[in-house]
Amino acid sequence: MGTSWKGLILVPAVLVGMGLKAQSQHPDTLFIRQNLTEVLILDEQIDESGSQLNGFRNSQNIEELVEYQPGFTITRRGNYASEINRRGLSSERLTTTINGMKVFGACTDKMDPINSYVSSNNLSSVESSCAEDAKCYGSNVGGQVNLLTKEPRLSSKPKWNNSFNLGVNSVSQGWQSSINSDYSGKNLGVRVNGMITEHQNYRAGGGKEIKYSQYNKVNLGLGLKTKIGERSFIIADYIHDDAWNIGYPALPMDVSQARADIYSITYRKFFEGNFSGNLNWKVYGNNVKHVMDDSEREVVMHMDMPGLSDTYGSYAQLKFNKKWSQEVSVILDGYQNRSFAEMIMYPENERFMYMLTWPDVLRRVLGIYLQDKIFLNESNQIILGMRFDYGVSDVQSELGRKQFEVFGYDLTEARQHEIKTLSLGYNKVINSKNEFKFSLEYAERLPSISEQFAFYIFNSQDGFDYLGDPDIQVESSNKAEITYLHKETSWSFELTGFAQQLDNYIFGEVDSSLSAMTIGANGVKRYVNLPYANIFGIEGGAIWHVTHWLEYYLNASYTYGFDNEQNPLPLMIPLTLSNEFKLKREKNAIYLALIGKAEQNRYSELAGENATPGYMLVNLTYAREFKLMQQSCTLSAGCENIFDTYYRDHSDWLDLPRPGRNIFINFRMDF
Amino acid sequence: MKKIFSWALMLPLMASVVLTGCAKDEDEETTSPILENPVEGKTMLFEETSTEAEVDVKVYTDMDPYVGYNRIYVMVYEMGTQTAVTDAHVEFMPEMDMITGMMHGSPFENPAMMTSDNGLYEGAVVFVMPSEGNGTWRLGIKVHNHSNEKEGMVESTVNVVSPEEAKMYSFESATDGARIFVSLVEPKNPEVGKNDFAVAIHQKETMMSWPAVEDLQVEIEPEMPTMGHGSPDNVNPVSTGNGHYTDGTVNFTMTGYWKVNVMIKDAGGEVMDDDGFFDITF
Repeated sequence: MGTSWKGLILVPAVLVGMGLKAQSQHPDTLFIRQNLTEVLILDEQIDESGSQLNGFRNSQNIEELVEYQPGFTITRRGNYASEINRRGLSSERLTTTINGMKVFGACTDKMDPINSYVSSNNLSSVESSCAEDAKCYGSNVGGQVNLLTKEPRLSSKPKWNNSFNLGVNSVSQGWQSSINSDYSGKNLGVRVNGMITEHQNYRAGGGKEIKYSQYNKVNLGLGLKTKIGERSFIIADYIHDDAWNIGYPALPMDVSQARADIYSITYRKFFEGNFSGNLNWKVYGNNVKHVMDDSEREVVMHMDMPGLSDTYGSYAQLKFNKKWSQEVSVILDGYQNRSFAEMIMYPENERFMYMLTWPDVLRRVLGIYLQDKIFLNESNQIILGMRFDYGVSDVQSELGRKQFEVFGYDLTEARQHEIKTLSLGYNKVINSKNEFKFSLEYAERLPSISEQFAFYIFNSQDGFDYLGDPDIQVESSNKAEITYLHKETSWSFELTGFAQQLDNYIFGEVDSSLSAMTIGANGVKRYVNLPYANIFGIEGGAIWHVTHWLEYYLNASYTYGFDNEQNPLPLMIPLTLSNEFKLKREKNAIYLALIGKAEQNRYSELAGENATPGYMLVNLTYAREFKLMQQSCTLSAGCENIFDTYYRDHSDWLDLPRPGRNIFINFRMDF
Repeated sequence: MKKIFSWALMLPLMASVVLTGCAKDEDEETTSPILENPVEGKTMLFEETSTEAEVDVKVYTDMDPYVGYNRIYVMVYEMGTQTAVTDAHVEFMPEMDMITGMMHGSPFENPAMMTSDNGLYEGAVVFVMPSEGNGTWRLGIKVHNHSNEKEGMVESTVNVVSPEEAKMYSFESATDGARIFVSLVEPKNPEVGKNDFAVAIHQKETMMSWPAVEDLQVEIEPEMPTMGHGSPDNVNPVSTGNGHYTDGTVNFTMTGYWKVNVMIKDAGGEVMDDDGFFDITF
């Protein structure tokens, strides 16, 4: 298609997503942008099997399903495990959690964002919060993304819901199969799901094969819920995710193994009385192992780069129902994470070389979050939020400390951080059709393990080895955000504008006195604090129920950012418009998506970005329900990127092109 | 209300996660008592009795003697006893009987102290070539026992090996043609991080005269040749007398094969040699 997106014509087609069963339960957008209180309670009341998150997209990778939501982009380095960004800010500036649990990847090169350790099969929804609730699970400057797994359900009348799914696609000659089993009893609910998928190299538009883009994965999810009292529950959850032989064409290495075990036990209680509300107390752990592998590549020198990330934590989340015109939430949480990554290089005829790229860092954080929603009257609300984290980061390895000694850092004492966040929001309902929200926020965040302790970690996008600064200053943010909502009977829209200043913005800066470690690198950069960086942006969403069988969704995003020297920030979102049409008529459903992105000429040369041409994508899916052996089935067939457009997204690394035309078929049976 | 706050019991649990970790385990540095045996763990080279000086002499080194700077530890006892001789003048005489029939010496440092609490007299010898293929090394130790004013000498043959990685190199000075020998003194046990760097420099004046050379300038630059990178913040050693150049720092960022390049300049800054290096693999 065209190089520069100039305007989208709204084609009045009629389509509906595959989430047909769950239409009544959730809005068709699998995406919930409400505050947490509502989501939790919603969960308990629902008595149906969860919707298939895959909907009309042929992917089990959760990030691909949230990509075109307002404010979101993903960074692809391959065909798997893309990193979720929000408003142009990537994982170190966001809090990404699974059921509120902290999980951290084990790869120094960001090959394993934690969304890669679940599959859409495990999840019931993805919550994203940007304003008032954005800090409940951790401190951040960019917001929070919480992946919620499907919870087992209880039912007064015991029932058993199962579903089986099988799909194939053409662009990566891939297939996937999954099974979901849900038992709901009076006092016991059990959920089991499993998924397996295999993909070969994919082809970009025009047929070009992208080498080293294959991946394989198996995922198993288990959940158990028992009722132990009138309003008390215990929920146990376990995910085992195992991927192997994963290619990353935009990186110099691939992955031989990426494995995670994620487990938790939650005590949930609803309490009545003078102060009613609910309590969720979760104790959890997760172990991530990630092994990079260059055996398929032509390398000057072979190297092994395994990484480990183990996290153990607990949080207690207490929400009070409205009392004295206030809704109060308190969360107390603590966790400890051990991040370890090593590099072993094997030169010919020489002793091997060994180095810790993450020098066995133990980070312990204790945090408290408070939110008070004050209802001044029916139409005016004030929301006060506050978060405090105390973090201690310690390099446990003597070798790790000695490595940093060379650069003049004494790491015998642990580094401590005090992270504070304060937010003030004001919501006003003007009338039944108009609502307005305004918020001010001061937030700080912990530096990431790499920003603090990276030791010669190669960044293939700019070609530099990166060194962390153990004494790096804490980055902070001042943000103002305003939202306008308008609702009519058959349509509604929401428009948000924000302005954000990041002080002590953490970025890599070249140190020309140092020579690179990685053979062929351009040099060495150190993580430093730039005086400030600014980001402005607009997000919008609209829903139009055209007729009872036709719905239209519009999502829009745009960000504009620059640092203290007016250099554009990386990952900025050019104007993006996503149009989705959903038609449902009897047993037929059609889904059409028209996605357009403008070109991005304001790119960060310092970060290794290029100008990116605009693109337009067209995706079309047809689904049909029918009965097979008295069981409900759905067969869907679709084509993504119908016009086989060769395109790449500005957030992707090294000009990696995205997949070309993809024809997929999916079969689902519920029984 | 009570039920609600039962969760507060968890507070200590989680607080302990952070707080116990905060109290850093102090690495208990046990100050080691003064070693009763000053040569514990060292390699005995030889032991001999000098009847003339009425002493037993035991000679030790850190490891089997090699081409380069070897610290020599001499224990002097009253003959036939375990009583240390605390007042003596100890001198070294390293000599090689070459295959060709000629004889030559080697740089050496006599023990500086003439008194010793425990009978240990520490000095050094730079063996400038290996025994194999060249001849036979002899190390003579002359002892002037001050307690009885008697003098005597002990001697033994010594097998000097070529270490796997050279710890000494020599060159002909570009400025004045002098034959200079540069020996690595530190690091003894290289490791990742900051390492002391020190060398000893001597000159071959004649077959038997090998004086120390002072006031030269030594510049070091470490690199990993295979990777093509060096390390930051290295410090050149400085002349501290008696041919020693100390207080240098060489930084290693990782394990593996390092090459520490050495440039020697004279006191005026003229380059005497810039091809020197030490291979250090660990």
